[in-house]
Amino acid sequence: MKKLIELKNISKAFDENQILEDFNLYINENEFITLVGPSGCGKTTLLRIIGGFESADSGQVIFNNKDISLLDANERPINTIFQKYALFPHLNVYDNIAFGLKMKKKTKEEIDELVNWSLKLVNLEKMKTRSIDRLSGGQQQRIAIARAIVNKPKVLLLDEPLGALDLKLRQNMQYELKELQQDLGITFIYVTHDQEEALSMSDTVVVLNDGIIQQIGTPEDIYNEPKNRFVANFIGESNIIKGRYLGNKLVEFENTIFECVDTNFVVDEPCDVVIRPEDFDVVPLKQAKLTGIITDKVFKGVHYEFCIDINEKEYIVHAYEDKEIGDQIGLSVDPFEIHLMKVNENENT
Amino acid sequence: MKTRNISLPLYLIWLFVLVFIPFLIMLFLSFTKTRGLDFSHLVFSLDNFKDILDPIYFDAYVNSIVLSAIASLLCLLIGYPVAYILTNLKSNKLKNILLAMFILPMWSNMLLRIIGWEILFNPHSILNSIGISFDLIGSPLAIIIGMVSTYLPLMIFPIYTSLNKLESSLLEASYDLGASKFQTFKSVILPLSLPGIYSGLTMTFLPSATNFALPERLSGGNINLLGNIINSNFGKSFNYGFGSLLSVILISVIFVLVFFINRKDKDGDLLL
Repeated sequence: MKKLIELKNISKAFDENQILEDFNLYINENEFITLVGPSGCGKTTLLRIIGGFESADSGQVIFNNKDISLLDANERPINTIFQKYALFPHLNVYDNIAFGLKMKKKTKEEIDELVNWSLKLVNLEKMKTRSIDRLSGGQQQRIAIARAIVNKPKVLLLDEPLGALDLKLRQNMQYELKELQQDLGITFIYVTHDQEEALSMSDTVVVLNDGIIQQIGTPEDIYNEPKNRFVANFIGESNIIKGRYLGNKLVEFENTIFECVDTNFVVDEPCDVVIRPEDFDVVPLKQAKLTGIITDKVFKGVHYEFCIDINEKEYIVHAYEDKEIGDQIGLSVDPFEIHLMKVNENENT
Repeated sequence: MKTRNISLPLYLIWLFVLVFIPFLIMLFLSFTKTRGLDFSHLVFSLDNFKDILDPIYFDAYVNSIVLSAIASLLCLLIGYPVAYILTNLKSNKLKNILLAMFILPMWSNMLLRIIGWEILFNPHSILNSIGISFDLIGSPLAIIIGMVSTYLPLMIFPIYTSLNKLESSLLEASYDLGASKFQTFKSVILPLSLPGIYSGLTMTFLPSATNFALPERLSGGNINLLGNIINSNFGKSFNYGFGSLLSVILISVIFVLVFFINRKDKDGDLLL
């Protein structure tokens, strides 16, 4: 894969508030990469630096081996889908989509052809002459997409584009965006705080916190092998338990010895054990490795979510059978569902 | 919505009492001859309609409309850049100071400001002491300067409001789609500030066209505008019937103009 964009040593501060410091990242051609993190983590700032709406205090933005740090937004071969769509209210659907082409002085025939092509891609051919304020949120979203891709950019930046849509529509649009990205072969750089969105659409997920990359990897990597407590907590739900590696693929926590699959620890090294709520198996008390008391339960549709008290610590467990609050429950975990993380002294989360 | 339900009829009552009824009275008076306020000698006649054919009144209409139109356009030419600069000022302090500079003069009496111009436009003015002398009284230029200086803020504020309402993401979208600064101004900023321009034009044109103190003080009796003719019919010659007819025509012209402008300014929230 070819590197398309490289961010080198990017630093950016707003009024003495350092958002990014010495930030490095590269993005491949045709990649669907998602920057995910809590608000204030610097993800939107990064996107705006790539788009040319903010300039970095120091560092370079390299596009196709050329430094584009000093180019204005209108000179970059990059288009953006804005959070609130930013459609032009004084123009109708057709003129909104044609805007970029008109600025590039394309002929009327070219514009016509391209606008029709992009309207077809987003399934809104019939809306051509509609005014913007007579479109639903989902339709506006599609027009914003059409307006960007009609320019055939090499890179599309998406700033929480689905944030304003309702759940069902958001899920549909996730599929459509993914499909669009694969069909068009455009690099998508997607910013979201929604971890589920990040996991379901991306080739690569970049988890950010406080302007620092916590982990880069495929969605599977990020979910199954979080590198630290932040990632484990932010991406999905986790039970994080203090443990001790015993060597020979054995780990001890809650005064019990478990088999595990991780090996990159020395004997007696303290570690953080991550177990996802859905990875616990509910078993008869006799076979249980851990037993606890159910303190709370919530019905979630597909499963029940139980809060379980084990040795006065609270665990979250997903299970399919109903149990009553106050019941004793026995749990076990398969070795490959136990993930060990290095303990980072500086982390509080 | 609740406040609206209460205030709407109230507003209609005011409109009825203060605008509609006086208009009907003037319409009625247009068909009469009176001697001042002594309505016991009131007689119906169509003389007013004959009198109005005198070219002097037609000239007054033309003067009013042409001079106010020029003044409004000048206000636009000066006011738009000012509003644009105000909107884009980064320092709030500077912005407030500049806004105050445009608002404060409006708090002083308009007549005083006009008399100020009157003094300066005289060949023998205080300016002689620094070697400058104007002889502008009685010229259209004097009236236009008076109009522009009086009503410029009413052009700046609605444009400033509409520019302020413009979301920065729209400008970013425009740059993002490859538009240069100038293209962005032409294709996004200008069209989206049109409502402000329309209300600015209304708010400078209407009072300019109807003001009577301004031509009275600055025309030196040379130039008749509608405002001062109407004023002299009511205040000097007590010819209520004729004054009413002139007013009714003026109100009708204004009504038609405002009707067209309101169709452009759909939000209607730009008229201060």
